[in-house]
Amino acid sequence: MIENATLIKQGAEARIHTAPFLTRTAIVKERFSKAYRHPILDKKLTTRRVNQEARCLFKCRKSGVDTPALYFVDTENSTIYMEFVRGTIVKDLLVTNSVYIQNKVKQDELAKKIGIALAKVHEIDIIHGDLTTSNLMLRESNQSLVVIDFGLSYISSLPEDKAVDLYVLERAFLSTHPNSEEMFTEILDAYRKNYNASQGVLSKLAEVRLRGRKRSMNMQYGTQGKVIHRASVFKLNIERASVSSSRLYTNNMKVIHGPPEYNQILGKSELEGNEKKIEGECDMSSMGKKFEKEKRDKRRKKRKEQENVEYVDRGYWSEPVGVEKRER
Amino acid sequence: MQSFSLELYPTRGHIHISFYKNVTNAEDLRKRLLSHDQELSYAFIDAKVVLDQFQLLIAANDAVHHELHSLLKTYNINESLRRFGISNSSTSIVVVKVGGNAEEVKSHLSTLIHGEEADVGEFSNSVDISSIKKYYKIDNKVTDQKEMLDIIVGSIAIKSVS
Repeated sequence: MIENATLIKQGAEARIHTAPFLTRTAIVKERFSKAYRHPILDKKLTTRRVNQEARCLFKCRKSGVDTPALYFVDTENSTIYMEFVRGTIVKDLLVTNSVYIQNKVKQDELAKKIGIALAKVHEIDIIHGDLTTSNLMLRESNQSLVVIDFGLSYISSLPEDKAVDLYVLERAFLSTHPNSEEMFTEILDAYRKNYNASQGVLSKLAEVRLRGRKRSMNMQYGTQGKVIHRASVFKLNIERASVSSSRLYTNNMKVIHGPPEYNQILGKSELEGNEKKIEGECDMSSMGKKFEKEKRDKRRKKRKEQENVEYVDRGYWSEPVGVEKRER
Repeated sequence: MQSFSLELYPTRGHIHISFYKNVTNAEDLRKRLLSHDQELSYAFIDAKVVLDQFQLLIAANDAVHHELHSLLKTYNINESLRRFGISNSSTSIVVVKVGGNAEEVKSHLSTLIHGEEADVGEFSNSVDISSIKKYYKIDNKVTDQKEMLDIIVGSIAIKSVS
């Protein structure tokens, strides 16, 4: 460990120190090993995460997002040395600074900076992964917005991932401050203006808001039973189906009109043209069963041809006729 | 000449940085370097590509780190020498030495280099921004020197990762 380091924070993944480093002050982020993991796996995971963090941090810095400058990566000790940014954490500003709490102009100014920064981050396909108001700072010297902590960052060009990124920030905003809805609207506004591909991300965001951060298992066919009035779930089902078994789902879709609030959620502009048929209700369970039966029959037919054995159909499974049961 | 300590490797000694102007024997020095002259165990760097002493310190720290952990992937320094090393026409030279006694290094260098020693802070005057931008792949939009230095330092640091 570096000389004269002072611990300033300890999290679940890493310890943060400050220390003098080659004439400057550095933040030293040391990822420690986890005793509950196998040592080899632990080493591998930690190294990969350190590298990923350093890469994302520097990629952002290079593309003009204000982040702490990267000083040194010590892969052997899983430590990253970076610039010590003097400034205030946005969360503290919104919670304790009376200027920011009362002054709408100041808030909008801050929101605009955040929106622009996020647009830049997403522009180069980096997903921050942990966008909260605690991971945003205002630099003391020039009041520029600094994005920190790329510990959960990764590279992806999917609008889905970007939308989840925004969603996480929205949740963080809503929980810090009573007026934060307006502020978040302002952020999205700046984001839209500064990021060309924002349309896809924002329409995804509408979906993510409805279902939450995680894509849960019930998005898969057959497991949910009935899917009613859920715009987001619906759309995902069709996407998935069109990949795995387009014929089955699109041909059997029973289309009826949903309740008014459902149309409101969808919005006219977000879903148009070929996606109109999404408005409706379908019984996924029966479709899932039908699809499984088809698959089962196909599998049996194949096996029959290969082994030349007759099978008795027992519903979900089948038994070959005249063949003794296998030893377990 | 200025000396700096390496916080990470205090036992490796200090880093000495000197800057020489109006150097006349660059061609001779280069020739001796290429013929593996043991007397010249210094890093002779063209001042054109040095923006700030912090850049040198980060690079030196990285080099020491790689040396002590034997992480050097290649011994081929052809490209680096061509870009950052002195050329026959160099007149401003930065010299970096890891370890050794400051006084000895200073007196030894003054016999080796025919030129006038200048203050370390002065080498930002002889910097060639366009070649720095080319070597470190810095976007043309970047004009602020401080920001440029951040990107340079990051590029050096990220090299061991990617």
